[in-house]
Amino acid sequence: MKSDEFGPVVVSANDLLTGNVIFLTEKPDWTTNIHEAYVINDKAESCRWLLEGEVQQSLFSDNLFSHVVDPYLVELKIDKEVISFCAFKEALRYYGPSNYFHGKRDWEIV
Amino acid sequence: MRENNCANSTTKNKTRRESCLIITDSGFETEDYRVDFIDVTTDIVPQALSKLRDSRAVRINFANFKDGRGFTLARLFRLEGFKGVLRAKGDLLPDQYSMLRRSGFDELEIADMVVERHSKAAWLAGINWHSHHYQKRLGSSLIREP
Amino acid sequence: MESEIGKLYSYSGFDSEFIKERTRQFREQVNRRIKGFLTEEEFTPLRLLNGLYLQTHSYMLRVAIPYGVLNSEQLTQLAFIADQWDKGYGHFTTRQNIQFNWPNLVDIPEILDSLAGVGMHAVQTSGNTIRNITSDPFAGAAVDEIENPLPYAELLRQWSTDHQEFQFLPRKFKIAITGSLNDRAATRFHDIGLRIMLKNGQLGFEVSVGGGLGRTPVIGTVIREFLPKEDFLPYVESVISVWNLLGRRDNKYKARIKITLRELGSKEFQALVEKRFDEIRNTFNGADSKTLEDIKLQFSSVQLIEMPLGNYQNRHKENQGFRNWVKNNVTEHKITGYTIVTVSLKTHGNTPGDATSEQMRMVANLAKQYSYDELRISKEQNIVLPHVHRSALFDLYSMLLKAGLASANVGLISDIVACPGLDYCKLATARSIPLAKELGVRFRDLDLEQKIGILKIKISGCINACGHHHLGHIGILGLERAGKESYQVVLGGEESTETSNIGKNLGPGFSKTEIVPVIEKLVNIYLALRLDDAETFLETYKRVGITPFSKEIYQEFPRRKKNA
Ligand code: HEM
Ligand code: SF4
Repeated sequence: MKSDEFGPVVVSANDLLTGNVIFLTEKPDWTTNIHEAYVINDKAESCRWLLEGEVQQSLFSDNLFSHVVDPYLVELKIDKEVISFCAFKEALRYYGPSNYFHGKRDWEIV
Repeated sequence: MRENNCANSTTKNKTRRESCLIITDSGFETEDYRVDFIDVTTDIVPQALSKLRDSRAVRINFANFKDGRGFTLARLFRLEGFKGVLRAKGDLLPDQYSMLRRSGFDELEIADMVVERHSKAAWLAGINWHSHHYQKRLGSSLIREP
Repeated sequence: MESEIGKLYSYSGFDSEFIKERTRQFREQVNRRIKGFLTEEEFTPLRLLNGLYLQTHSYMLRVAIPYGVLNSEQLTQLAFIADQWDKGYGHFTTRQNIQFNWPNLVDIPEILDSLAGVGMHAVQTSGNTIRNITSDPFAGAAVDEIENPLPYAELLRQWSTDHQEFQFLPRKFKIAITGSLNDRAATRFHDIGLRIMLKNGQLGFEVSVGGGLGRTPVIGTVIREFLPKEDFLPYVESVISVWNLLGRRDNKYKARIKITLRELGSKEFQALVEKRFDEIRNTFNGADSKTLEDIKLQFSSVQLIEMPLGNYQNRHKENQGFRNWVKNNVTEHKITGYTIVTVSLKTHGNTPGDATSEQMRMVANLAKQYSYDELRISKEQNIVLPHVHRSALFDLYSMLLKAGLASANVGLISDIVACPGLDYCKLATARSIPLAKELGVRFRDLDLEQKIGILKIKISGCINACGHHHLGHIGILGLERAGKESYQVVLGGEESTETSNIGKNLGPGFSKTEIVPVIEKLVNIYLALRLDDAETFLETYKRVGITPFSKEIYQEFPRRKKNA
C-alpha cells in the first residue's frame, strides 16, 4: 500500500464461534455482509479502526466478551458502488470454496 | 497473527508483575522464602544445569508458555540426580501444570493477576496430574533404573 | 504358507478413560475461550493440540486415523459426523487423517465425544508436537513385509500422546514407520523415519532423521543403521529430547529438525542423540516392551479362510472395465488367493480425497463384508481394503461401480494428490483442487490415461508442500503473483526405497488458464519421447533429462523475460 493512494479498505476477521468471515461496521459491530462493512479511505483512520477491531478481540469480562479473531485490513476496489476485492485470495475467502456450491455464500466469481 | 503496517496497533499489554502465587499440588500459596532459588533460563545448556545438581532449590524461568524447553530440562536435571526443590516461573497456562509436575517440577511461580485471569477453578482442575498418564504406564520414569 | 493376518488394536480401558478425560478438558478450554479467560493466542496452541484449525471460512477439525487404520464401525461414525456437523463429506489427507471443513467451535467437544465412542480422537493431529504416526497402508498384508509395523506404530501413538515434555516443541514433528522392503510410507521425508530391518536374525530399525518437504525439502539422514527393537522408544525419545532444546524457536521457518541437523552437522547431532540415549535408556523399566507384547496380542492373528476362485477368471476375461480395475487397483497379498484393493477417491472431476458420507458408509459395509472389517487410508488419499479374496473382487467391483468409486486409476495420471489449497486453507497462495478436477476430466476426455501408464501428479497450494509436489513425477506448486494465482511445475520427484528424489523446477510459472494445457503438453512430449509403451514418464524423464521438456514447453508457452 502506498501512503498517498490509500484504500479503500475494510477491517475483516473471523467469528470465534462459527469461524465465519466478518467485517467491521460503522456502529461498530460485525457483519457477514461486505455491503454493510465500513469502508475506510484514509490511512490514519484505518489504523484507528483496526485498533478498534483488536480491542474487540481482547475484551475480557464475563458478560462482555468478544467473538472476533485476528482482525486485519482487506483492500477493495469500488467501481460505481460495485465492491470487489483486490486480491483473489480475499474474494475466495468471502465467497467460499470453488469446488462445491456450498460456501457460506454461493460461488459467484471466477 | 497477520502483519499490518500500523504502528502501535497492538493491545496486548504485558501484565505488570506485582505479586506472585506459588501453585503446588495443595493449591495456591504465597511465597514463604523458605529457600533461596538459583535462577536459570530455558536456554541454559544441560551441562551447565547439571553443575547445579547439588543445590537446594533451582528456578527455571520460561520465556513464555510456548517455550517447551523447560520440560525437557527438568527431566534431564532430575535424571542427573537433583533432589532439591525445582520451581518453574513464567506465564504458563493452567493446562500445563500437569506437564510441569510430570517432567519433574515441584511447583509453579506465576503472577497472581495471571492466575486470576485464568480463574482459580481452571488451575485447580489442572492439579490432578497423576491419572491418565501414558508415559508412566510405559515405564518411562524420572529416575534411572540401576 | 502363512495364512494369518493381524486383527486391529482396540482401545484398552486406559485408552478410553484417557480420551474421555481429554475431551472433558477440551470442552473446558472451549468454554474458557468463549468466556474470555483464554486469549486467542493462548487458545490457539490448545485447540491445535486437539486438531482444531481456524481456516479461511470456518473451523476445520482434523481427526486422527492412527497409522491409517480403521474399521467399518469407525468409518461409519465418520460418515455420521460428516452428516451431523459438516456438509455431508470428509477430506482424507496425505497424512492418513480426515478433515472436516465446516464445524462450529461449540460443536467440537460433541464431535470428539462421538469419536471417542468408537475409539477415535483428534489428539495431536496438529500443533507443535508429535503428530499422528503414519505407516504403510499395506501393513500386515504386503508381500514384501519383514514384520508388521502397526504394533510399533500403536506403541508410538501411546507413548507420544500427551507426552509431558513434547507438547510445546519448536515445531511440528512427524514420524513414519514401515516394515516392508518397499517403503510405502515415505519414511525418508519425515522428521523421524523408521524402517524395520533384519540383521543376523535380529529385528531392529534403521532410523533416519530430518527429512521433510515444505519450503526446504530434505531427504532424511540415517543416524542409526540398526537399532535393536527393545531400544525403540528410548531412542526416539532421545532424538526429540535433543531437538527440543536445540531447535530454533526464534524463526518458525528454521525450527524443524532438518534445520537443526543442517546447522549442527549430522555427526554432531548423532553424537548428542547417542549420549542422551545412554542417559535415558535405563529410565525405561521394560514396561514398554511388555505393553508392546500386549499390543501385539491385540493385533494377533485372524485366520484367513481359504476359498476357491469362483467366477473370477471368467469375469476377468469378459469384462474390460473389471480387468483395468484389477490391473491398476488390486495388489498381491502375502497370502495366496487374497488381494489388497485400493478404492480410488479420485473419480475424474471430483475433489481428490473427498468422500461423501454415503460413500463412507458404503465402503465401510464393503470392508465388513469382504475385508475382515479392515480399512486403511493411504497417503495417496485413497481407501485401501487390505484383505479381499480374489473370488470376491468382481462383486466388490460391481458395488463400487454403483457408488461411483470404481475408477481404475490408481497410480495413473488422474490419481492426483492435492492439498486443500486456497479453497479452504488460510496459508494458501493458490487453489489446488480445481486444478486436480480439471486435469482429471481433461485426461478422461482424451482417453489417454491407460496408455500413459504410471504418472503421479501432486499439487500443493503453497510452499508448505502439504500436497507433496516435490515428490510428484509432475509436481505443481501454486503461488501468487500480483494477487492472482500462478503455478510452478517441478519434474522428476519420486519416493521409493532405493531412490528418493526431489523434483526439479521446470522454469518460470504459468497462469491458471495455462497450467492444464501445459501439463497436457508435458504428457505429449513424454509420449513422443518414450522408447516404448513400457517406459514410464519418470523413466523417460530420467533418460532424457529436463531440457527436452522445458525447451518445448517454453517454445509453446513463451515467458516474458521479466517473469523469469
Ligand atoms: C488445511 C490446513 C493445513 C495447514 C494450515 C497446513 C500447514 C502446513 C505447514 C505450515 C507445513 C510446513 C511445515 C514446515 O515446513 O515446517 C505443512 C507441511 C505438510 N503438511 Fe500441511 N497443512 C494443512 C493441511 C494439510 C493436509 C490436508 C495435508 C495432507 C493432505 C497436509 C500434510 C502435510 C505434509 C505431508 C507436509 C509436508 C511434510 C513436512 O515437511 O512436514 N497438510 N503443512
Ligand atoms: S500446501 Fe499450503 S495451501 Fe496446501 S494445505 Fe498446506 S499450507 Fe495449505
